[in-house]
Amino acid sequence: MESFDSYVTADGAALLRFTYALTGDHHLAEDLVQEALVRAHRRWNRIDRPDAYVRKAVLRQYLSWRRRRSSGEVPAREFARDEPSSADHADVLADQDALAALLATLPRQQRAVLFLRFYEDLDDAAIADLLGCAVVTVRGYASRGLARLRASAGETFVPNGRTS
Amino acid sequence: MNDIDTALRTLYTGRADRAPSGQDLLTAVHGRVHRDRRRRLLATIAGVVALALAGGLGAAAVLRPKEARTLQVTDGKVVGPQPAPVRVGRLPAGYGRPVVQYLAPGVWAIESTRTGSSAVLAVQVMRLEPAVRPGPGARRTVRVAGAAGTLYWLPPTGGSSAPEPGNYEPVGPYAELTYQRRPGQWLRIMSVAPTGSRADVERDLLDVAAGITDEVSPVADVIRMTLPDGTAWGRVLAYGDRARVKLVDASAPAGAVSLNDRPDSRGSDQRSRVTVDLVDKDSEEVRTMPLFVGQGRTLASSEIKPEGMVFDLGTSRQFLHLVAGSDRAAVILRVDTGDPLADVGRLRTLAESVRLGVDAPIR
Repeated sequence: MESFDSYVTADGAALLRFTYALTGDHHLAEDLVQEALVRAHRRWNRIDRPDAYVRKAVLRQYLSWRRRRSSGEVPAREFARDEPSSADHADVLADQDALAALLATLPRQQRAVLFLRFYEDLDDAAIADLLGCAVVTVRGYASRGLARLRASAGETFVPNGRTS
Repeated sequence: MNDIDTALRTLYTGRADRAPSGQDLLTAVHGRVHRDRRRRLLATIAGVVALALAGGLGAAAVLRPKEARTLQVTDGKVVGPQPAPVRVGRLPAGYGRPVVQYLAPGVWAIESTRTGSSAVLAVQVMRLEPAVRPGPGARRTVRVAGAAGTLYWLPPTGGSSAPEPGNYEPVGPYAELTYQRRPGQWLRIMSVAPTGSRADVERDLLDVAAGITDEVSPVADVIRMTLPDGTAWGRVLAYGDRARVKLVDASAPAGAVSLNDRPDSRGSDQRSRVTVDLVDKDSEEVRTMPLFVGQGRTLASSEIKPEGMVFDLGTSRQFLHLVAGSDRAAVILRVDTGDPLADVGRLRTLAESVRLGVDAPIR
């Protein structure tokens, strides 16, 4: 079996990409990944599929109530990182900024479902398995999350590269 | 596929491209594993001692305050927040030694995590009556030490009763007991993500309430510093390897705890003047500070100047400074540029006064 250190060395960056794409927060992403890996380390010899185990642990920690921060969880830092190289790029970044801000207003369960559907391309059954809930619940989260994004988009976000 | 779907895919892909490199991940994880083992070992020892003291009288652990705790002082000035006015004498089996967080002037949270799970039990102490929690949970009145209390129970909410933002509704299973223990002292005892039945959880909460005494409990001693004139301790948080202090205006009144003040809620809507984060000087957070302000590069810890470094973005000023006497610790001070404390000289004076407390997670 692959050693714990080999696994972290090989897949650590991918785990951080997964978690940062989910959270949009460097600090939180590192925290979640490290904690999930510590949990995995405790029972390493009993884990058959480390990647699935750690990703599930990351998601469960992300959804854990005690990990939630209070209101105002808008990942403002990420869009300050790159200088836009053209007007079009700036528009896209501004657009993403608005979308990220809207996304941050959704409950975490809805955010997690949208992330797994649109970034990981998982179907509802796979998402339900990862999150430990029913398929119908996953569909409910997705539909409510998308409905809210669309409703809010009417006020602040026009998905063609412009913010209103 | 519609435009929102496409925009979400673009957003996630863009984030993935900007993710931390993970260069030091293995080192960081081994550090946590080491601390985790030490904590578990200490918890086991404490559990054995507590059971021995209890004489086998059941599963509840008896907690003792730390002996020989050093005073929270530096350079001759008292620099710690007031201790919590109560002590939690009993916790359900499996919960570790509680840590005292200072949430706001006159508000404390004594929190304990259940070993091997995400369950948390927190005793919040405040001078004012807390707001009634809204939401779909069930409430009933109980007697707590002769006083009327309210027990709130929210069953598992895996499905359609997911909370909406802003209503402060927790995710079930969740229970809380709220009551006035004495004039000017309200308690809210929260059980987050418990594993037992409703009856078990409610019994645990009443048992915790029965074990609360008037002895004081020192706030986690993570950072010591000399407070600037006109400021007071607003928040002192210590979770795992994180520590954060917020300084508020000295005239800020005591308040009731916010419904949104949950265990591990590092963020808050508290109006602070300065936020001080204790960080590892080699952490990603430090390394990316120049990126944060658009300088397009990362920062090696060897580049941190002894006089500290300023990073401005809009109306936010961040001041990075190494902690005296530590090989690893640094502090990041965050302040609004409109605040008089944003003066670099004053920030430096504040940062230079920082010392690590006995509970500091980074040495």
